Amino acid sequence: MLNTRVLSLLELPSEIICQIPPLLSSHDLSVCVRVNKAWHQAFMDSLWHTVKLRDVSRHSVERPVFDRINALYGQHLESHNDKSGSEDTVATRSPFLQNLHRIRVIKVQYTNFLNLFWEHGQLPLEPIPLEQLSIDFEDDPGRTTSRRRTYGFPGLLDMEPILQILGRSSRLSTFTFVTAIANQGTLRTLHPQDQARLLANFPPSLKRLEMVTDRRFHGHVTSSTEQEEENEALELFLELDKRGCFENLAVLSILGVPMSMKLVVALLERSPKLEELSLNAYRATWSDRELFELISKVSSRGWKTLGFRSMSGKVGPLSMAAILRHSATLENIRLTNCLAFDSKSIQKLLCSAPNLRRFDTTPSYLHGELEPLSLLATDIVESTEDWACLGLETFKCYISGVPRPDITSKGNGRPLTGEYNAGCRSSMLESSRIQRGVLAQLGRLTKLRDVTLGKDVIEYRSKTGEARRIEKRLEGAHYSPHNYELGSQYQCLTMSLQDGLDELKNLKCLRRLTLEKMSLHMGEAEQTWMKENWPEYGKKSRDSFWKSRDHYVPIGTDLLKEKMGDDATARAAIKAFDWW
Amino acid sequence: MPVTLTSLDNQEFKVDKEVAERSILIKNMIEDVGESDAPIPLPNVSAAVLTKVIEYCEHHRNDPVQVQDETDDPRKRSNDIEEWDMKFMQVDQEMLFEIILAANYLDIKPLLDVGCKTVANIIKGKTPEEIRKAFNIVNDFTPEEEAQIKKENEWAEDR
Repeated sequence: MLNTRVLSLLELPSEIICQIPPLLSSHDLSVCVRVNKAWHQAFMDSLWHTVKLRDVSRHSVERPVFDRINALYGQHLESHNDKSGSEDTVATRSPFLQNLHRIRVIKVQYTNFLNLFWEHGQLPLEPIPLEQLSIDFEDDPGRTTSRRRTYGFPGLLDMEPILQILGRSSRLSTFTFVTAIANQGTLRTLHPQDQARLLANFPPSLKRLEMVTDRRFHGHVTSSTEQEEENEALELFLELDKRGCFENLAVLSILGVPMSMKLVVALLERSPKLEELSLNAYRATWSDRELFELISKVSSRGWKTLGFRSMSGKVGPLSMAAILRHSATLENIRLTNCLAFDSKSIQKLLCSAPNLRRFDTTPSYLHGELEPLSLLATDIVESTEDWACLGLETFKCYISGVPRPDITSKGNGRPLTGEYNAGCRSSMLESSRIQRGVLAQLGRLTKLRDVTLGKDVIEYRSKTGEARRIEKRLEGAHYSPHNYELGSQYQCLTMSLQDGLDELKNLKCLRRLTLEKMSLHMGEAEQTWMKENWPEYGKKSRDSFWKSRDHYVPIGTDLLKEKMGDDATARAAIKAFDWW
Repeated sequence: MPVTLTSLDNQEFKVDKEVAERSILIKNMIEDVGESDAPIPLPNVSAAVLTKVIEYCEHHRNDPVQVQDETDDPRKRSNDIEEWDMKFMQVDQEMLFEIILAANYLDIKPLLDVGCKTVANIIKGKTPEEIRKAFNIVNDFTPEEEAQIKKENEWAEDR
């Protein structure tokens, strides 16, 4: 024994100690600070680094989050006032205010936010080191009506507390605002004027701005987006904007918020460092020309990331051309349900985007389309250019248009008719040649980890009627409502060795491959080949890049299911909330 | 070619170069010095600890370079310690801290991670009193102080 004295945990160097708190939950940290004075000092900063009061109310109806808010603010304040009788000594400040200097991240629901920052009066004037503020306005149907009334809101959100905190947070880099309210069919969101006031008040440190309305809402939009109001909002923004608040903005997400395009463009004009844009415009009335202007008005750096969802009616030829013009800088692109992104555009982009890492054009859902938007094999093979995106890691794009003389009947046994039997007229040799050409291009992308070439799982949801009508039209007399088949891709790759699977032998990083069910010609030889050539295949392929940008907020449906079981009222309530 | 390592208490350890180079510190030293038979002195590590560290490096000699997914929740990661590593870390606390210190000094990131995870797992789910017992700590709070701290931090009760 060289050293008889036992080393204690806190005697380890601080660079080691600081690795431990991130491994603990905030509950565990709240226990650590009670151990002794040294531990209190060592763990207080970590405990208060992140104040997260969001998930709890969703899961524990028994002990609502308000008790915890009281622990932060209310009860403490009262008990101290009882004792000392004085209100403005340091001791009467709530734990929340006392620890403001430690807080870097706040993730709260709007109700809790109001409790913390507003109902108890003004915030102290000194600056706060907050870096990330995430407010989630979720109306939880699991809560009782009386509570909803108690904490009821006017039709539009009160902006004052948010503006107050923004004014003091000179280090704020991320602001996320999620409105996900489906309350008796009315969406409560930001009034255009409030949008303008909010936008004009961000500190210049802001790097990431995310404004989200959960897509499950399907009632009326109470905040009018009429022309007149939009113009007023823009004027107000221009009048208020004196701080250069977007000089560091790099990431902008506007998902589902009905925001005026003029306001968005004004914002972009003030953001010289912007490189990522996510849009989901299912509620906006943006036109192709407006989108074109938006994409064209970009910082000198060029776009690195573009993510468009539910923009089918909005992305047209003009905006498509604007996207293609930025292919040199693009690293991540996801265009979901954008019909204008046709086969030729996809091919063009792949040939001109050397920095691409993630590419996704697969639809998030399928309505009635029998052949969803896809890249045609012939466009790849007939092109004189090779794909330039040699660093691509994720490729999700349906490939179709492969002549398949071997397929003469549908999955349900009936003969292929109409536009789907076009492939039958080709020769097997020609089919093989085209497939090999496609796989040769794919085979050059040696960094690929996750590949989707066909629709694996079909989610038709409510639109099966439409699909059946299309099938009926195509099949005529053969159609039977009891034995219909909802669209397969009959012109997909076979992925057999005979048709060029061995072209993919250099995809040493490949972990996942998703194919159309009509592809499955893979026999034993192919499976053996895969095992021999793809050492990583089947390993977990985790990439939360897009997921972390979606801000999908579950409305308390799961909670309702849990609480009410099979009750008919519950089912009706769930149906009302479960739009998607 | 084997490499000779000398511990704080002057014991020599002959290990394969591949094993020794799990330590970035040693790897850099070998690169700087070039091919040499001279033993590498490790004046901060005792023989007992070095034996353990070498055992770890032997077992993990063929591991690929660690790639961390930065988007992962670190809290979830603390649960996934390999079975062999878990057994390896079943040592008394003195040794646990010594291994962590050595891993830090020798720059063996995966070993340091496993060490920190092991410490975190000792803390997890315990009451303050259980933590005091586990780490042999004397409570220097008055009951009033402790009650006050508990109250002020009660909001953090997610698990």
